[in-house]
Amino acid sequence: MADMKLRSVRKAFGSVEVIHGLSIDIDDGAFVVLVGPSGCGKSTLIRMIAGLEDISSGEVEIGGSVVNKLPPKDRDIAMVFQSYALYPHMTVAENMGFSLKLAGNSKSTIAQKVREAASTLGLGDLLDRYPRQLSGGQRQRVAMGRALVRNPQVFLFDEPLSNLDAKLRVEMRAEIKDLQQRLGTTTVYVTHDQVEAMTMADQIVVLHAGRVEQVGPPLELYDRPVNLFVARFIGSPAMNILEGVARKKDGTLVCEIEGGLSLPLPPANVIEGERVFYGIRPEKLAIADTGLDTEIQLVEPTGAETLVALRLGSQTINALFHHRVTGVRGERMFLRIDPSDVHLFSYETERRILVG
Amino acid sequence: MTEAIGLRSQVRETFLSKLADFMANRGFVLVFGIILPVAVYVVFVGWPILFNIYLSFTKWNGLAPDVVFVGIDNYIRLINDPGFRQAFFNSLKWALLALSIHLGIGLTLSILLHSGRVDFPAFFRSLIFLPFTMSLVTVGLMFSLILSPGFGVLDALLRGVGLEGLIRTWLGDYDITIYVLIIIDAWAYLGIPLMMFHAGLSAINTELFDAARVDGASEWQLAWHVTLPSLKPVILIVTMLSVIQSLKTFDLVSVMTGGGPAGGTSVLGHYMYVISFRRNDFGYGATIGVVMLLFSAGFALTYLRGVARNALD
Repeated sequence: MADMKLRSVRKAFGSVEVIHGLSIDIDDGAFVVLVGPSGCGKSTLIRMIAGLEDISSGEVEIGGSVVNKLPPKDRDIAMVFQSYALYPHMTVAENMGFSLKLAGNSKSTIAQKVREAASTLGLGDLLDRYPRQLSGGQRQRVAMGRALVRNPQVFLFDEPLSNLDAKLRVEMRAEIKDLQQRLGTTTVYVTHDQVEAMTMADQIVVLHAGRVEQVGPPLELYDRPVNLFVARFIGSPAMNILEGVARKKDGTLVCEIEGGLSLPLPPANVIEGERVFYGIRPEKLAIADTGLDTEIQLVEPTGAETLVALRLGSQTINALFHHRVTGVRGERMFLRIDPSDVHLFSYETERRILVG
Repeated sequence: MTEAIGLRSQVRETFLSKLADFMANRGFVLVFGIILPVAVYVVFVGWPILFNIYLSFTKWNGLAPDVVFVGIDNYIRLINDPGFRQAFFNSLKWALLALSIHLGIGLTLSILLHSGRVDFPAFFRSLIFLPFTMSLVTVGLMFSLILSPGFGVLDALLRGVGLEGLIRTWLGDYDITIYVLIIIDAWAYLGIPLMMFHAGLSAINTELFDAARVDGASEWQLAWHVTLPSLKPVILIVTMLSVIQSLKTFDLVSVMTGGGPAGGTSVLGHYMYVISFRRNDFGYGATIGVVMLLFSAGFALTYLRGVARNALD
């Protein structure tokens, strides 16, 4: 186990800079998830930590030592890849013991460590099989076993669940989280799936275009996104964002959106006439007898919850209800917004406006 | 007149509509997809093979109407024929050496050109592939000039750099001529293994290399533990194609040495040609052909069933 520090880390491919001076501190034993859309630099960053990509400038420090110049094998890390990267010509046992074999361990030591890791992951019966004889979930477990057997200071996961079906992904994400908590090994996990990030991480790092947008615990990012990007990215379904202007109505400040509709504002640092982005999460909208007048576009029941797409003026917003909704297309629906659930962002800077 | 035109146009329309119906139903697939290809195969491959097997039990000069059935006499003659033995062992030597060059140099060059350490890899791959597009007769004539004892470029080059001691009668020395021909043949065919290895290398999941690097593998260990095992199916296919290609050798020998000096470059394909068309002994020539067929087919079948089955699985 070890802590990790990234200091002003930059990566450029020729004249194109893809990572722009990132600095992140990762505590010993923490589960940190790097999340962001495709092309945000998260996989490049984890490959730089692993030593599979050169660092253009800045420092990567693991356990107090700068590892910039060290090859991957000397960084005391283990990595799980998106495609699992299991050697197809080796059995499960050989795959798991390969790093130990290269390090010159004796056959008995390798066999013992492989057995231990296999029993932790429930792979005991599969040791003589080849990767092609395994299911997706089993391959994923072998890839983790290969990492586990080295007992590294840091685990790196590069989108390890992307190739699994939805059901297995949910199971495996619980297994990975459980394993990490049992072992207490510092873990950096890359994903583009914000649900995966929310459910697994102690700390989430939201990346966008090679820059850190926000770092924090999952619920802090959900409750207090620092800018419009994080607000849109974190949360599923995504936050409704509407453009509006602060107006005084009956002595109270409200947000007037297209079509003259007024939305309630929390007490915030906005002045009359200021343009803002008005954010409200779909699950914070409630059905009421009067209030915001909307028209049902689409109802998507999933059993436990119902997602409803609604027409508000010329815009579409989503509402998520934890009960059954029986409305049909074209029917009117009135919504209530609690001002304390509203997120406000500056129109100019797209940064969060302090509320309260 | 008008009636005649109307009738012709009616006939044409009926024909076109019947053709469209025929093409739309399974008859079209049956005729052009199965019957015709099989017929072509039977006429140009199946029948010649059967006729060749029949000829191998006969004595025939290729012209006379009398074809005399001689039973297995030709096969007994084969066993006691030093010319056949020489050609057989030369073919074996050819196959093994050419295979070593195709695998050794083909694989090394492919890995090098795929490693990103060489500029313009596609250009070099095309350059190495280029000789394969030339007829072996052209290649043979070209090298006959290059290796010519009096005015050949190679000798002039060796003399120019002060290595005249290395000059040999390249195409007239019993001990070395076959090796010269094998190298030329391997050079001309090298593009195929190179391209196959290139395709194989491109298909390897790059994360395997990353995983091996994280596991602690050096560049050599990457090649040994990841690249070579991943290329195993391609290596097996290249081996089979190379051996069969070598067993068929004829053109280069015919153009450059005619099997000489003293049978030093005589190989099965060329020996069969000499027996059949120079000595007009078609029965015995066909016997050599049957042996070549059995050897190639036997090798391919045993190889695919035994060695390659697991790797290609």
